[in-house]
Amino acid sequence: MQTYGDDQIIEGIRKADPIVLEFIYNNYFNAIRAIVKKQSRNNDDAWDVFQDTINYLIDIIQKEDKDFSLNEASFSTFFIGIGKRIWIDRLRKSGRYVLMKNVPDTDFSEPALTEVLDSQDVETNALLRIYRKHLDNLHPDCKYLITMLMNEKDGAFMAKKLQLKSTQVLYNKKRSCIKKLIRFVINDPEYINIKQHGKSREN
Amino acid sequence: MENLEKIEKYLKGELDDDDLWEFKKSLHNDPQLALEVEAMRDMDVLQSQSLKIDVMDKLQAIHARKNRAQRFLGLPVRNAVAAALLILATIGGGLLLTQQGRHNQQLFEQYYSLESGAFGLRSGNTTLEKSLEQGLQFYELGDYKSAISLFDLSPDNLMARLYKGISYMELGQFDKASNEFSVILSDNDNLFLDQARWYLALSYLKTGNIADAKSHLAVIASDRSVYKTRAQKLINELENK
Repeated sequence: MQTYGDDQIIEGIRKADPIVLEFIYNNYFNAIRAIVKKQSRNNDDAWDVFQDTINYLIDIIQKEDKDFSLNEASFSTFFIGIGKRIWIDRLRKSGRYVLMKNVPDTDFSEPALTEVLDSQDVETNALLRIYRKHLDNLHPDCKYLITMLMNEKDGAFMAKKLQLKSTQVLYNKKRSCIKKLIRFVINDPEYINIKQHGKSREN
Repeated sequence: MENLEKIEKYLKGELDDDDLWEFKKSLHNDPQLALEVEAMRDMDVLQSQSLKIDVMDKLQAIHARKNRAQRFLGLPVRNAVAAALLILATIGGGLLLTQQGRHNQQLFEQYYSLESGAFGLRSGNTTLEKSLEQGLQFYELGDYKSAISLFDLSPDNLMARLYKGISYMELGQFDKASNEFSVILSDNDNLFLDQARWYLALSYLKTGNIADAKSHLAVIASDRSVYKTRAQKLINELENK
C-alpha cells in the first residue's frame, strides 16, 4: 500500500489526486466513524462529517495558499481533531449535544468550537453538501441547468444548447428546477437545524 | 413556492419601493417565505467551489465502491476474509512501496494530462446528442460524476465512451476507465483510437500493469499518432528505470 508524507497529502488535496484521496479515505474514514459511532448509529452521519472535514481542510489550505503547513501537528492529529469538532458542532445544532455531554466517556472535553473552528466555514461546507445532495436528486436536465447557470454560463448560449425556443423558456425551466431544489432543501432536517441554530445565535 | 420571481428580484435589489415594503412585511409575517428566501440566498454556495466539488465527487465514488465491496463480503466470513485481505495488502503493500512503484506513479503524473472537452463541444458537430453535449459541459466544469451519468445515456457513441473513460480516470477508477477505452479500440475504425490507446496505456501504467502499458505504447510509437513522440519517450523511461 502506497504511503504518503503529510506534505504529499496536502499537495494531493490541492490537486484532488484520486489516489491520495483514496489513501485519506482508507486511513481516516474509520477514525471519523469511530468518533461518530459513540453518539450515532447512522453511518450517513460519519460520511457527512468526513466530507465536511476534508472541505474544511481545503478552506484552510486555500486561505493560506502555498504557505500552509501543519506546524507541530501531524496530518492525522489535525484531521481527526477537525473531524471531532465538526461532529460536536453538528450535535449542537441538532440539539443532541445537550443530551450527550452528560454521558461519561464521550470525549467532549474539547475546547469550545468557536475558539477553534471558523463556524462560518463549517456552515458553508454543510450547506454545500446539502445542496449537492439534493441537486443529485433532480432530473439531469435540471441539475445541468442550475449548475451551468450558477457558473454564469450565458442564458442565450444555454437556450441554444438545450434547443429551447428562447431565453425566456430557459428561465422558466430554470425557475421550475430551482423551485424543486429549494423545496428539497427547506425540508431537509439538517438544513432546518442549521437555520434554527443561526437564529438562536442571533437572539 | 409561489414567489420565486419576487424573491429573485428582492435578492438582486430590483424591487421598487412599494413592492419592497410589501415584500419585507410578508417576510416578517411568513416564516415559510423567510426560509425560502434564505434557501435561495444559500444557493450561492454552489458557486466557485470547484476544488471541493471535485474532491467530493471523487470521495463519493471511493465511498460507493468500498460500500459495495463491504456488502459483497457476507457477515459470517467477513472477518476471515478481512484478515486474508489484510495479509495480502501487507505483502502487496511492501511490493508497491518499492522504488519501481513510485517511479511508475511519477511517470503517470508526468505524462497524464486532461483531454479538453472543448474538442467535442467546439467541433461544430451540430448532430451531437443533447446528453453528450451536457456531459461534456459537466466534464469541462470538473463534475465528472454528473458527466458520466450523462455519457451513460449515449452508450453507442464513442466520443461519449472516450470522455467517460477519462472521467473515470479523474475519479481514480482506472479499471472502469480501461473498459471504456477497450470498447473504443475493439471498434477499430473510429476517430478516437489514438486517444483511447494513449489513455488506456496510462491507466495500465497507473495500476502497475506495465506489460500491457508497454504493448499499447509500442503500437502508438510505431504509428503516426499525435502521441507517437510521447509514447516513445515513455517507453524509454520505463525501460531505463
